Amino acid sequence: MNPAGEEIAAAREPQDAVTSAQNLARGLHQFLNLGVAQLDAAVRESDAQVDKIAQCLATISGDVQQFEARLQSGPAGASGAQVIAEVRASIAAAVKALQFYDKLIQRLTHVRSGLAIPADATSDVTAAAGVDWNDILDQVRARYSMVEERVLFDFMMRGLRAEQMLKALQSLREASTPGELELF
Amino acid sequence: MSKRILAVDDSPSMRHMVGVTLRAAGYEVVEAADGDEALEYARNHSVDLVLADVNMPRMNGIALVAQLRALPAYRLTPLLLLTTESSQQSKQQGKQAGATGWMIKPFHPDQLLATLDRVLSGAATVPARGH
Repeated sequence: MNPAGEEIAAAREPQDAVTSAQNLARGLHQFLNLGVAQLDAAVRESDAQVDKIAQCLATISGDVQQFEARLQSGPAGASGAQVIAEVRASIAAAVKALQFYDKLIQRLTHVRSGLAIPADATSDVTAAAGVDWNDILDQVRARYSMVEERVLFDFMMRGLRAEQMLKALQSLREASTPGELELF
Repeated sequence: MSKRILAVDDSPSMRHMVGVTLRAAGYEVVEAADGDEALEYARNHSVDLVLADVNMPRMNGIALVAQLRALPAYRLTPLLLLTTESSQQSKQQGKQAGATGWMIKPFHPDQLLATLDRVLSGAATVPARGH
């Protein structure tokens, strides 16, 4: 390369670095928004289905009550009472199991925030370089409502590997006591 | 006459689950989607027990408890928080706001009914108020 060519290449380098950073920021922004959109779609789809299941349970429960009332007013068969007891037990199990959905939605909503907050902060590619990442991380952590979410976040910040975090999460779950009541 | 429970949760499926459990046990259940809606109802109707989630839009469960406790008619009413949040710090906030108890989701229907039975049997009579 002749001296004039070297000069032109040297002058382009800072410009190329800026363009590269802008492309990176734009790509990151698009990627984060993709995650947000995918989570939104998953939440909307499961919302409708779970709501339908919950309504069905409510209907079954109402039917059982009516059936029970009829049994009490007519000749009460032992087999009928046993059927009711079994249906009631099944409803109770379903009621407990279906509550996974509430927790799932909370988790997904927080993951969504974890993507949307940096996505919003990097939407202006020229301002993205000045983003305060510690502030963004604080905002993301503040959205969490479960102890295990906060613990996982802190582990991630300490640089734990994925399998270490999963192991820690498992220990947390084993130590938790769903249904636990504390009266004040 | 059946006891009236105000179930407060921003999740429709959770409200369904609580409603199914309590109605099957003979309670009258009124549902509200957040603290604001619950407070509005409680100000205009009598309620025997409030069962509220903690994390909700507009007004959260702890703020709802604090607002209800400030109303003379709810000074002795059992106010239970039912939530996925299990940190001691949050429980402490609930206690300071005036909550009767803190229950961690997911609940088992039998456990929830036993809890309601326990706190309602120990509760003082709530003055009846006009609608």
